[in-house]
Amino acid sequence: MFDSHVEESAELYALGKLDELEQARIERHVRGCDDCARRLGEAEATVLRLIEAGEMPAQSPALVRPIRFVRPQMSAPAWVAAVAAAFVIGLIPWGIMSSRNGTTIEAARQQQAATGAMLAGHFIHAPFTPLVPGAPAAKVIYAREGGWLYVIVAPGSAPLDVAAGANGAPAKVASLSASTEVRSVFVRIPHAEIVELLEKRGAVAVAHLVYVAPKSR
Amino acid sequence: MYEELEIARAFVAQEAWAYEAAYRIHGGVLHAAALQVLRHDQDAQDCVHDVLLRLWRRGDAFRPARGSLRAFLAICVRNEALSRLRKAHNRERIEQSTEPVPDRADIAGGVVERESVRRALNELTEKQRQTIALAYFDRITLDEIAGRLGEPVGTVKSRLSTSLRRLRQIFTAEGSIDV
Repeated sequence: MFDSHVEESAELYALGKLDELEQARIERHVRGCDDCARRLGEAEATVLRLIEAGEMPAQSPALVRPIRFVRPQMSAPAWVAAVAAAFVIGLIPWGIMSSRNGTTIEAARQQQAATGAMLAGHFIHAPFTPLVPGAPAAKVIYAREGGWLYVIVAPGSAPLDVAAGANGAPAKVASLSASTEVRSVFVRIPHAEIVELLEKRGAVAVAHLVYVAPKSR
Repeated sequence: MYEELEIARAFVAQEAWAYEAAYRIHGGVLHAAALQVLRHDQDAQDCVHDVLLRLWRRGDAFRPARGSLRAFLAICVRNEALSRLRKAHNRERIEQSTEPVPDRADIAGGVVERESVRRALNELTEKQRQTIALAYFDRITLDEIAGRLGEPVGTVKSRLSTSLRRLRQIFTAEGSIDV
């Protein structure tokens, strides 16, 4: 087994899917086996192409083409299939399933807007820092070049407002109802630098956003 | 090409100039390979430096039969970055990082490369594309991929191997990779 040829492990090595022991075995083996060295080199050259293509995670149209966005008129099986496909690719937080009958259409619209924005461009995320004990865990996903936010908040018994803005002057941009499940809201806004979660008008958590390109003034 | 072969020869011979040359010529893609995984500029720089120095000191790590020094170095850096990511401390810090990942357009042919890879991925079957996406772009383990797809690990391994070889065929056919 120690001296066995690399076979499909060549591709797994290049994709970084082997543990360190198996990696070491492959490296030892190819030092004495030209055929396996060649196969490994081919796999490495292929993965190099992916590296050189840069950041192209799940938002690549090629990778998400099977997704069909949730639309209110969709039949139940199609809805389930679409969401399941998006889950597999990791675009939709599990919490989106929290939408109940009364809010399904709005939740679907929010989801469509958020995933559509994510598909159209690059995005990054920032965690919220709690300002008070017991503040709900939350994150904000936002466009790398500015333009939109997608706030995701852990379940909580208190309704929350979302405030966003620049220069330390955030203004209310959305509300989140109390829920026993994960809540989320999508907001279009240019270059917000600070996002706050407010409970009864008091900030309970804050996130600071950093952008790649300087904002145009 | 001659330059790459010459650098590869000198790199294996542990000639000092080859270390500098490899860093100068391949540093951009090596940094990108680390940064795509670690999401932290300084960590990525450290990773590239450590790997390049380790390989240069070993001397025998690369053989001409393996093909491209650039690809060899890039995969070594990416694998080391993945290994570091698996360390719990780094994982926690990296997941909380808000540092944006720079646009890879600074790597030769960035936009063109992206389009080429998109086209190639489109030629895979849906299952192949999905599995590659989970393995490469989402960087999750084989066990996790198998769990998400509801398939045995062996099936996932075979499909990854087949998919990557298929991608190579496509890149080769379009002339964007050396045969």
